Amino acid sequence: MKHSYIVLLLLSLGFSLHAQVITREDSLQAGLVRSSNSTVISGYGEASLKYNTNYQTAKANLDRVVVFLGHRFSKKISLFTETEIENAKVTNNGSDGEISLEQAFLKFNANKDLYIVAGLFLPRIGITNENHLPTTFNSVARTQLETQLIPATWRELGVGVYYSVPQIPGLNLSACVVNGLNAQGMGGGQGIVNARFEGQNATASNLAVNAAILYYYKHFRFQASGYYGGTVGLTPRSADSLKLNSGAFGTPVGLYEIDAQYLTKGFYFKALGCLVSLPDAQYINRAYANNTPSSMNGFYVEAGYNLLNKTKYEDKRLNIFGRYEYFDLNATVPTNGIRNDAWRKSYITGGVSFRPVQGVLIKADVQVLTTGNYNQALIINPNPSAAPYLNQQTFVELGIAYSF
Amino acid sequence: MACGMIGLLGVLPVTMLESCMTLPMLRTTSKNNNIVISKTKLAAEKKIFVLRNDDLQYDVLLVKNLDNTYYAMYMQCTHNDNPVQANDKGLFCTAHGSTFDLEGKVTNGPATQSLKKYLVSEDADSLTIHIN
Repeated sequence: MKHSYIVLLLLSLGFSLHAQVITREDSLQAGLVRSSNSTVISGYGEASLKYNTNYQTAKANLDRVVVFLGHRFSKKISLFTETEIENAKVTNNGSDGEISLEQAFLKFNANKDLYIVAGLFLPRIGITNENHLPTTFNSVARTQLETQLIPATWRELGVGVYYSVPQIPGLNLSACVVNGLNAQGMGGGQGIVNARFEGQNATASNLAVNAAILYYYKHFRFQASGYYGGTVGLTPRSADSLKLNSGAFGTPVGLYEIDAQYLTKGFYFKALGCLVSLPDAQYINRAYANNTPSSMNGFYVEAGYNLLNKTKYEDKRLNIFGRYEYFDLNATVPTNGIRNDAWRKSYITGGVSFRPVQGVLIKADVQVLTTGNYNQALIINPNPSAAPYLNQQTFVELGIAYSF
Repeated sequence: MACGMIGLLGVLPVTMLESCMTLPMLRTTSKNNNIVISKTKLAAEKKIFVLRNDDLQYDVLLVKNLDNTYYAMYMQCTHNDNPVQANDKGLFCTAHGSTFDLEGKVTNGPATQSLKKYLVSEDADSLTIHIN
C-alpha cells in the first residue's frame, strides 16, 4: 500500500511537470488503467518511396503523421481524437498537403457490452477503415481497393451504437446514422472518394445508415457491412431545379461489403468483396455532368507468412506476402455516361516487411498495375507532349511506418 | 436460440457457432482491490472464464493452466482503451483489430503492449485475483 502511495505521488508530480498528460505506458505501469480520469497520447505515421519503372520516375513522401489524443472523463465517458497531417506540409500555394481530423468523438459506455459514439468517427466498413494504422498491413500503401472503391479512411459525423452479444462470444453488432454524401463530388474513375464531407460543413438533411455484423471464431474474423445513404442535401427547390431527389435518402448510394480474415502468428489470409450501387447515376450525370457510374465492384485476396515464426527471433517479424486486387470503378454506366476501361484495374502486389520491435515496420514491395485501354473520347484537349498511356505499370515501393 | 437464429439467417455457418454459450461469464464482487471467487463456480472442463465486476470498467479473463493453477488479465486493449473479447484461441479488439494470445501477448497490432496481468492466489475453496 505504501508503495502505491509513493507511485501515485511521483506520478502526480510528473503529471504536473510534464504537460499535464501521462503516457499509456505510465498509466499502465502505475496500475491506473481503472482510474476514472486519464489522458492518453499516441500516434502513427508513414513515409514512402515509390519508383515507377515504366516512366522511370520516383516520388518520396511523408504520407502522414497522426497524433492521437484521448481523455477519459469518467468510467462512462471518453474522448477520442486523431489529428492528421498528410504530405508533410500545408501551404496556401496549392500543395496537396492536408491537416484534418480523422476522428473526434465521444464514447459513452452504456454497460460492458454496449457503447455509443457521437461525433466524427469511422463507420465499420471493410477491413482498413477502422484498422488503418500502417503497422497493421504489410504493403507500403493501403490496399488500392480500400482506397479507391471503399474510401478509407472514411469518417463522417453521426451517432453509432456498438453491441457485443454476451451470450455469443465474438459476435458484435453495430449500426450508425451519419451525414450523407455529396453527389456533386462523384465522378468517373474516382468513385465516391470526393463525395465525402469528412466532418466539414456536411449536409445533414441527407443521411446515411451503416450496419455491420462482425464475428470472431478461433483465428477467423468475419464481417459483413452495408451502407445506404442519400447524396443530395440541397433545398427541395434547388434539388427540383436539378431534377434530383433530395431528402434523407434521395438519390442514394448503396455500398455492401463482406470480408474474412485468418490471423495467426505465422500465417495470415484476408479477402474482401465489395459492391457499390448508384441507381440514380443518370440523374446525377444530368445535373452535374460528372460521369458517375451506376455501379462499381471489386475484390481482393491476400496471404502472408512470418518467416521468423517459431524461431528464436519470435519477438520480431519478417513477413512475406502477396495480394491480388481487381476492381472496376465503372462496372456499369448509365446511358448518359461514358465508359472508360482504364478504370477497370487489377493490382498484383508482393513484398516483404520487417518488424524489429512492436510498433515499427520497414516495408518493400513490387506492385504491378494493369488496366484496360483509356477511352480517348474522354480527353477533350489532347496534350501533344503527354506521355502515352500505359496499360501496365510496375512500381517498386519502400516504406517505413510506426505506431505507438 | 440466438445462435440458431443467426445460423438460419445464413449470416454465419452453423458449425462456426458451435462455440455459442461455451465461454462462461461469472458475475463477481470485489473487496479491498481483490476479486474472490468460489472454485465451485468454475466448471472443471472449462479453460477460460470471463469475470464481470461492477467496480471495473472492463471484464477480467481468468485462465486455467494445464497444472490447474490460474492467471488473470484485464480485458482492456492496450492500444486505445477499448474492451477486448476472448475465445479459446486468444483475445481480440473489435475497434482496431489488435489480437492477443491467451497469455496476453500481442499477436497482431496496432497494440504494442501485452494485456495487464493480475496475480491469482488460491486456497482450498476459492481464488483471489489481486487487482493492484
